[in-house]
Amino acid sequence: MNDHLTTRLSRQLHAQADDWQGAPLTLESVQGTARTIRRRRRAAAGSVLAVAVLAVAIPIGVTFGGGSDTSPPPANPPTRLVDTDNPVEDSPLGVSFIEGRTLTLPNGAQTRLPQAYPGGVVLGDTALGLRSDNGDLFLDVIESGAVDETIPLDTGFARNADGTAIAIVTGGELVVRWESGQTSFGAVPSGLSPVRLVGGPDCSEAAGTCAVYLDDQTGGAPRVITTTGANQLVVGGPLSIGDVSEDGRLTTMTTEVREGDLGACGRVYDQTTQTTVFRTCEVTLERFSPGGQYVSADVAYQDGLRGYIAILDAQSGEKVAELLGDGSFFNEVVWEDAEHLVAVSFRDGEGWSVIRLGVDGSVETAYGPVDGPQDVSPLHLLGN
Amino acid sequence: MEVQRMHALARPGVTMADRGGTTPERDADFSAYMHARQTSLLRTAYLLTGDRHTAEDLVQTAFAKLYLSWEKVRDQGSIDGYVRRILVNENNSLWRRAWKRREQASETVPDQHHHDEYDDGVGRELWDLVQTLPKKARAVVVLRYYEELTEAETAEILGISVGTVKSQASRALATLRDRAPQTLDPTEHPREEER
Repeated sequence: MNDHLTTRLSRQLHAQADDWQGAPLTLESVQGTARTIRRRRRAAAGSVLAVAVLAVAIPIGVTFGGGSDTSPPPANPPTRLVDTDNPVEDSPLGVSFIEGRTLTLPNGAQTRLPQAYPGGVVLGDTALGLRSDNGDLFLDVIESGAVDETIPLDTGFARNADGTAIAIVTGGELVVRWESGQTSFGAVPSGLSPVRLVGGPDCSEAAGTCAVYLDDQTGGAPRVITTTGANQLVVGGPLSIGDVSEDGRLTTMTTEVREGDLGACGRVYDQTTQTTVFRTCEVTLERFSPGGQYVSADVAYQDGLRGYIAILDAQSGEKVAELLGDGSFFNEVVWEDAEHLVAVSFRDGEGWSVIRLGVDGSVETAYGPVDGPQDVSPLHLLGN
Repeated sequence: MEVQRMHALARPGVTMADRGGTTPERDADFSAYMHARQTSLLRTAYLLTGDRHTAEDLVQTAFAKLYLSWEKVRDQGSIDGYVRRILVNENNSLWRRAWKRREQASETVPDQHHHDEYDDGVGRELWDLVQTLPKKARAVVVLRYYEELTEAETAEILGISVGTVKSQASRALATLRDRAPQTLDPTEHPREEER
């Protein structure tokens, strides 16, 4: 039966295709597509960097609410809220976000920024604006609506789980900053970029041990550097790491890139027992949810603009929610709470918005749409 | 688990970037390969997608990616396998499928129907059914029964095991047989209206 079927099938496939010549391709048209692909890859890498790099902490002179009681009062009048005459309304999002020059905090408080930063970070009662100048990265410390200090970044930065401290590499030195202080972990080789800070906020030697996980952008193996100066390779042989759980136990990592860059395999790895929790070649594992029950993921074959988001159980690897862009694409994907991801999304004809994906598979538009050109997002999420 | 979809379709905006560095020798080398292989790849792409515009675009993208990796792939002596792999992966790309659906919405030109001189209508029906197969199963069918690749060659291109190729092919054939038994042996399975 199968012989008959396969013969018939083969014959029909040939009948269907063999008399078609198609439009001839030219070298020029292929080169044009190649340039477009190269640009998309750069854009994708840039958006990942922007999400990964957002941070540094400096008071911005406005009490966002819910802040630490020990925070010193601002020396200058608070930065004017955008809408100070009206009561602050709840924010539509559980994470801080920038829209144009307006920073909105989860409690609804807003402040006007000196410029439309494409990224930034809010740590406790402090915030920073990330910008790029001729390819160099800087964090602007904003006070009373103006830039008070600018910190050059060698690579990127990373927050701890509760957003009270960040790790940066500046001037060849790995530094952890928190609201009331900072400490140096010493000089690091060039190309190391922080992925996650575990511990804090006070990472001084006297206060306890913090650990900074760093990827090596020059192609070396990821490393972990601690308060005490220990500097070692991340266990598990990763090519790169995506995240570390709050307790420092679990790590998402890429372990293999397939030939021709056609996909990647990775795993959730238990650093303490040195065992694989689960492995996958179907998706690229990204960030743990607050509490560490879930992990976000993208397709394994990442090709330019992102059109896919998945949520996996961090223990079993089971996919619990999945969202296809269906023509929309996603710019920044961050955890809003223990059970929801939010992402900036662009949809032709509608503009930019923030969508919310729950671990129960629910999807909704959380904010927007907002007008803006499709190659420059007016919305940026300052999540973890 | 239900897969959620963003409903509207969009074509993400991308503009031309700077030109990459090329050499005349490299380009001549690449062009020779492209001209020799494009017709064959277009036909395979058409069978994978069922749409001529999408097939042309798919092949253009595959050649563009090959162009970006030309020296490496050529030196490895695996050009055909590499470009076929890109073709299949691109066709499976979620983002790309969505993008292309939008393009087709405004540019669709109906494909001509091809008739085998020996066809009794069954072949066409079989082709219609092939187009309902899941993407990966369809790729196995096209590579095995059109390209006439071995199970091992198919497995290598798809990045799956030989066992998976066997099971995918078997399942695809079973699906085709189950969905339209009358097309495979009309005498044994008369159509409802013929009874």
